[in-house]
Amino acid sequence: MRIAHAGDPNSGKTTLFNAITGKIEHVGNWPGVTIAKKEGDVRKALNREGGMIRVVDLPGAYSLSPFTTEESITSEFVRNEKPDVIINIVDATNLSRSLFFTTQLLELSIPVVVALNKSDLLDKKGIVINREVLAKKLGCPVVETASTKGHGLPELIEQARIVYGDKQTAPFTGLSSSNKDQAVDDKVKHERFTFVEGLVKDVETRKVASIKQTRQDAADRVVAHRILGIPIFAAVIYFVFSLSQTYLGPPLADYLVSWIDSFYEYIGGLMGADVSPILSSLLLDGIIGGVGAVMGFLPLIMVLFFLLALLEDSGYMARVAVVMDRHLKRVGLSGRSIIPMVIGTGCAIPGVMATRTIRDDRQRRTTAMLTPFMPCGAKLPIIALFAGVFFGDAAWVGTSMYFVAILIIVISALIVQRITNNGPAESYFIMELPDYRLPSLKRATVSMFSRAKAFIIRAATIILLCNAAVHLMQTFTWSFQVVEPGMEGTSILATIASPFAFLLIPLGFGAWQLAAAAIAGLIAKENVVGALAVVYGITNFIDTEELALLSGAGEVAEVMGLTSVAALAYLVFNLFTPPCFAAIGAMNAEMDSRNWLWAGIGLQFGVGYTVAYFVYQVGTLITTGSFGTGVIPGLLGVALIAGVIVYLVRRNDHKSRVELKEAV
Amino acid sequence: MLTNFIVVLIIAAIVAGAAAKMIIDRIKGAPCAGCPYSGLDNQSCQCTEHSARTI
Repeated sequence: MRIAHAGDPNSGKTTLFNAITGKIEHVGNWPGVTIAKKEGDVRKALNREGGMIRVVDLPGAYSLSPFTTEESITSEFVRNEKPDVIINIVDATNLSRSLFFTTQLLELSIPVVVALNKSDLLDKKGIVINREVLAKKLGCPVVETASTKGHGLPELIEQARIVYGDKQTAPFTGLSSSNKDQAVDDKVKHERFTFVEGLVKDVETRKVASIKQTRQDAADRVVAHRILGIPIFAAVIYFVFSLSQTYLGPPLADYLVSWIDSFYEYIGGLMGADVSPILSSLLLDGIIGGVGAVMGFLPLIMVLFFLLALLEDSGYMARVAVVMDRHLKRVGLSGRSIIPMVIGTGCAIPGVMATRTIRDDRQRRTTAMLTPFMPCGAKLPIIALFAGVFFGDAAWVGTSMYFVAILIIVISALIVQRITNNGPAESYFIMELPDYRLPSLKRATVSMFSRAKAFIIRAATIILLCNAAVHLMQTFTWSFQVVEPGMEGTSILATIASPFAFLLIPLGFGAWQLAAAAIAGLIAKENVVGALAVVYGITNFIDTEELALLSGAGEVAEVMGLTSVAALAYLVFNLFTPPCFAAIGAMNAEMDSRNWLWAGIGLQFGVGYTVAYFVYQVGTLITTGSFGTGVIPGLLGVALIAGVIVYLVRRNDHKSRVELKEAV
Repeated sequence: MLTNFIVVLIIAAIVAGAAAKMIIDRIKGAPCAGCPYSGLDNQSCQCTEHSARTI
């Protein structure tokens, strides 16, 4: 038997799907988290009768008339693939909005079971729903569920089994809504809304009038305020980074790093002096050291993931989307562009994929191009490394990176708007604000461990392989001779990275080791940390005092040959140049245009280079009173980037003038 | 000599294991190993659904 989960956005479909199947799909307390269908089998504990019951979780939809891409996935699935049963997840606290879709589903000749989800919140909100009357009026079973607590799930599956093969009668008997005539279609919609209103009046009693301002509304007036919302967001992110990188994270990381160090020493001792130094170094410095350096940041990242999951679950991130929406619209982006960018803070790939919900080609491509600027989970170890080593675990470093990213997105969107010669597009973004709720520690913990597991797997696979490759390339020359002491510049790695390092001199980090790490970051961003560990022979980035002792340098900055300003420039360069290859692949898929893809990669390189240049040169001027090395060549490079942009803008201005003349 | 051989075997096993995990995940549809958004099968991976836009 195949059951489809369908319902309005943010009605709790994926939470219910996870509870029924035991899967850990990403959930969020805001609409639009699910953009594609997912499948899983009902847990044995809920499937008492045996036999396989497959559940398909569909993206949220308000109706069967698709307005967005994810709505069309839902619509097409239930119409064409004909599941055996539909479980229609209805937000019990918002019945009037949800039943429109229910009445449409009941017309498909597929048995429907209505899950009155979030029913645990009814008492709190002073809402009473007569379930029996609702079931009678709809002509299908209605089961009260609370997916977050697992209530009502056995009954829900049981009812799905009972209705399997049944013929249900649709309660709404208006005209067919598939009519192509817009006027008739509107009339049908109006009739259906009237029918739903009447239905809700008969089954629902509310103690609180919906027009009355609630405490949530009052909170939203401040939190989602167009001006106040931004400093509040800054304060929240600062608090999150303070906890993860200054207070909670480092002590936890110290424990893990001391274990990694012990393991390193244990393996070193086990091998003894008999093993070839090349093999010993590959295993210890290349594999254990490189992976260990990345793994050392796991506790910091876990704390950060946990806090971000709490924020998302509380309903706050939906408010951030509303605050940012108005600013993005002004620079020619869609209101929906904010959703991929918020998702992109976890990982750029699903963030870029989420752009498919944007209908306008130009807006979708621009959003796909700009989403990778948001610092994703893989970039967090780089932020943590530089904030820890060069800025004493200061929380402002991480916080400012998010705001620099937003600023870059706004400026880049303006540039793209000018180049593509499009004014601010009229777009309507209606986002239903979910209720604030006390975030679930359990959900945040599950989310944290899920992402931590992913981090560990990446460290043990792609990072490990890259670190081993970097180590081998650093150990050998092109003629496969071991690099002589003092001749490190002859290694394969150094000869490959040196030309790039030359270009990076005006940015303050012209060492081939740093260039090699930045290149390795294109494979996976965590690689920057791993590669730095390998090329500098460091296993411990967490305890900076120990690092200084190990390296024999008076100051940590000397180990990498970077000033604090150059370190900040290196950080922004790695954060704002193109993302990893997997994310570039996602950009390619969503942009559906090679020109846009290459333009996007060019823009990302240009932005990363320019921002890093100004951070280093201006920062050096402020701290030392004079510009840093390579100010003029760097300025020429930046001028070249600016020149290309100006040329493209003018070319498009000219093109539009010609088109206008022809039209006249 | 024997210890060197054992270390080579260990390194080869580690590298082969890491590569195998990546290849298996790739076959199962994950764009990158360990992607938290990609589940373990094609059906549940949002990242690999480069489906044609239907609108």
